[in-house]
Amino acid sequence: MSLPILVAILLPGLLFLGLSLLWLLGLVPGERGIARSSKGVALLSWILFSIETIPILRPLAAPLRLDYGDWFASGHAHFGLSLSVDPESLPMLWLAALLTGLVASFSVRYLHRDRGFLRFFSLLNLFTFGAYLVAAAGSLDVLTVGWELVGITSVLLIGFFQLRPEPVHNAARVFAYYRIADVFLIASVLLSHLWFGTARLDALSSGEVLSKGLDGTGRIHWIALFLILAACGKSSIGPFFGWLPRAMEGPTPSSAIFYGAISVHLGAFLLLRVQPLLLASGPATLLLIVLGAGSAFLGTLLHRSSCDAKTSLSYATQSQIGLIFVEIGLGWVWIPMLHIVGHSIVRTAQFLRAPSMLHDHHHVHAAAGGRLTPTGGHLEALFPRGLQIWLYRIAIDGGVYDTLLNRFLLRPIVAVARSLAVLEPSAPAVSGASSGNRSTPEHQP
Amino acid sequence: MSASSFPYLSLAILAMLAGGIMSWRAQIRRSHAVAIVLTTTLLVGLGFWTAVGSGNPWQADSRCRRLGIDSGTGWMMLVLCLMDLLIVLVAPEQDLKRGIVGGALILSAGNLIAYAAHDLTTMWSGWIVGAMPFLFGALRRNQAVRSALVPAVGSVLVFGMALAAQAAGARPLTVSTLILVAIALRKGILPFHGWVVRAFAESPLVWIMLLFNGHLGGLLLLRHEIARHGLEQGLVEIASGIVILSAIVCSLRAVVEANPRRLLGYLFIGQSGLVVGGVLLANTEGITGALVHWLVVVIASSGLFVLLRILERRIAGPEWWRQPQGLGVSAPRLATFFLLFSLTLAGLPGTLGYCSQELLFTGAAEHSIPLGWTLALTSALNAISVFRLFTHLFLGVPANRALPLPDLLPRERWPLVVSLVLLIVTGLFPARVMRLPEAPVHELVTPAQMPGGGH
Repeated sequence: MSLPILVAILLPGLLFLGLSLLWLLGLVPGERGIARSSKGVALLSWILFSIETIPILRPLAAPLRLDYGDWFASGHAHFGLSLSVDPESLPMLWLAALLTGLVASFSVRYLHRDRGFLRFFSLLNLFTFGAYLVAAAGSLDVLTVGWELVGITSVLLIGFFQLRPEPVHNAARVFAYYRIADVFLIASVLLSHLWFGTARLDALSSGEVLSKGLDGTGRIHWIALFLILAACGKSSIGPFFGWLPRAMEGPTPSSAIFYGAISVHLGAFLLLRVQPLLLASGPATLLLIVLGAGSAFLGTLLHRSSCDAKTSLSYATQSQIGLIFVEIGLGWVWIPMLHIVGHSIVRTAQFLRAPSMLHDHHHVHAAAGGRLTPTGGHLEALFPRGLQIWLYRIAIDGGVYDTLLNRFLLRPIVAVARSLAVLEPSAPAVSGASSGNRSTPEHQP
Repeated sequence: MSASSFPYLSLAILAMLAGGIMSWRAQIRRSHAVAIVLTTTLLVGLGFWTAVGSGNPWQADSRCRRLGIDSGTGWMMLVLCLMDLLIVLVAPEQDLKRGIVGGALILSAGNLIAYAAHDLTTMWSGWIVGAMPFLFGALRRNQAVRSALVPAVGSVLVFGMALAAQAAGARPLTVSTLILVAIALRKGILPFHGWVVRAFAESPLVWIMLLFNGHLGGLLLLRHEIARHGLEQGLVEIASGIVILSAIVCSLRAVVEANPRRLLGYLFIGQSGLVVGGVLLANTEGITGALVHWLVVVIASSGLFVLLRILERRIAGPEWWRQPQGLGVSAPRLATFFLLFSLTLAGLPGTLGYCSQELLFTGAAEHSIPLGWTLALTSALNAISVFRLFTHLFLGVPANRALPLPDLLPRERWPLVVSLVLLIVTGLFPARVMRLPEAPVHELVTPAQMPGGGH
């Protein structure tokens, strides 16, 4: 029973490896072959997930746990390869397969004759593999692998239109956000191994681990805190609020699958997977609700004042994910899951239609007889006029997020980094300048 | 115990040395250089095979007590030979001029001697051989090699002082301190990182790759009793603290560095600091992680530096790196290799770099949780810096030049694909690679720290 699931998960990864290797060796497949193989793999994965996991949806059916032993081990450290397909992971697997196939179909025309056609589809397959791993992970070890693969593909697709400076700059910035957030996930994995001797998701939610973590040492609070911060990083919530609008520089289909559907929801999905552990820590739960509610409010504020279609959609997405975080903090399981699935599907459709938004608006406007009443003013009406203006100023400045980040984090780090030049007797006076007026010594005769 | 690895080893070293001396003053054809390195690789491979076959872990050869291939370091020698092969296959044609390849072969011979040494005096002779190209270069008033004199020759001198002190019956603390200073000089550990970065910026890149990518500092630490017996625990604690501090300083300096050579120099010091730090942790996870990371650093950083050298030769002009280059359009494969090697060093899942770093972080966290956290943060900063370099060089608007930059040639492409596939395959199936450092781990980890041995 386990083989088809494994095949379904591995297929996009293998396709990515095959396409990449062929290209590196100078063999470039045609557009039709790339598109058909990608769509075929998505369809096959979806069919395999459906066939193999329908029995799991029956009441009282046991989840499917697949253990493949240690991926690698040394000393006390064991990095297990375990997958878990249960009613929580199943919707994500289905959703990922379905939306990937949809986006692949859409992209065939959208990127027709684009020089990055192969690059896009290769990265889409790698992303799908990463998303499957996160969704089906039975342990934080496996989840981390998928998590990081999703992150790197996301960044490379933000910089897809490499001839413009903005996507490149934003890709580097988002990469920085992701790497810092990943440190929290890695820290939680390390601490889980160190303190509880396991990083299996079912074990971390078990009574034994929870009682061990609540023995007065505060261990569980630390792990819960790190997991929340990691999830915030992936979902662009709380301290990592600023990256999602930057990610809109990528092609529309990738924005749809990454930032409308799968990638941004993986943070919430991670929190759902470890929900018992989070709920066992009061401070962590409170933090989760506060971060979620704050981001939801800020997201809706910025969404309303944004004049760019995709950016506006990204803020709206953040607003919904903030609400999902609150729902998870309140201890609900199925409501956030349904919210994730519903929101992913709607937002994917919105992103894919974003390039035709003006056309759609004119169409609806004409159909309504030229009398479209403005909507969305009910929230603003709740605030006094002075506060409305103040909030609007904050909103058009992006929530002053970048200002705060630059002033209190980036500038101090850069200043410290520059000042460390005093430890190098030979360091150039200006950072980055070489010692002489030549590029490399090998250029000398 | 078998002694049959010695003939292979001696022939391999002689082949390298002879090739190096003969090509020191004369132009060498690429095919000849490849033949020499290939012969050496085969000989080392045969020696390693016999050592493994005769169960010779981490022990002296009975025929020659001073020199021999054992299963503990034999695989490292093999990887170093493969790195040499990668360099001579991919290096630009202009780098095959006299002196450069000759020096590279002598450096490689020095590395082989050091790795095959079973006592510190023999290892020192390997260090001396490796420093010779820099010494002779400086004597010939070659300005380019001067900046590498401090790490290359200075470390040899301090290592020699340590041996002299040991022979004179000095206190173990003095000897250990001198050994650690030699390691710091060689690896660019604080406060010597400035010299190493300068050497990266100014010296011939092929020599620098072989000098620092030999990781002789880490090897010395492995072989010396500091790591083996935890001698002067306080000193080891101080040393590990400095190593970690170096990694942090270098990762921060890399954040504001624009010169690709200097940036990769900082990155390299940070990564090799992880190797030394892992050995100093003296737990199974740390040492295994360090030695597997050694493999990753050797292959990935060789690939990175070779690619950088190709770029330097193809883009003429002083300080070409000041402007964004946008090379990804005309040289997409070069860009992809650069990205993948960079991300391997940064711990991309699916490559061996991920596995080695996970083990290193685990080993560090087992030692002290803030230490594990710091290493993870350092690794993240390194990743950010190297990705910034990638975007600066390969993405963005292409620089205005008369002819587009040519992409990788098939001669360059195939060895790089093999290196990358090696990193990916071992990253997907790392269990066998994790067993390679079993012998040194068994030797260095105290029984109480072994699994089931006291915990």
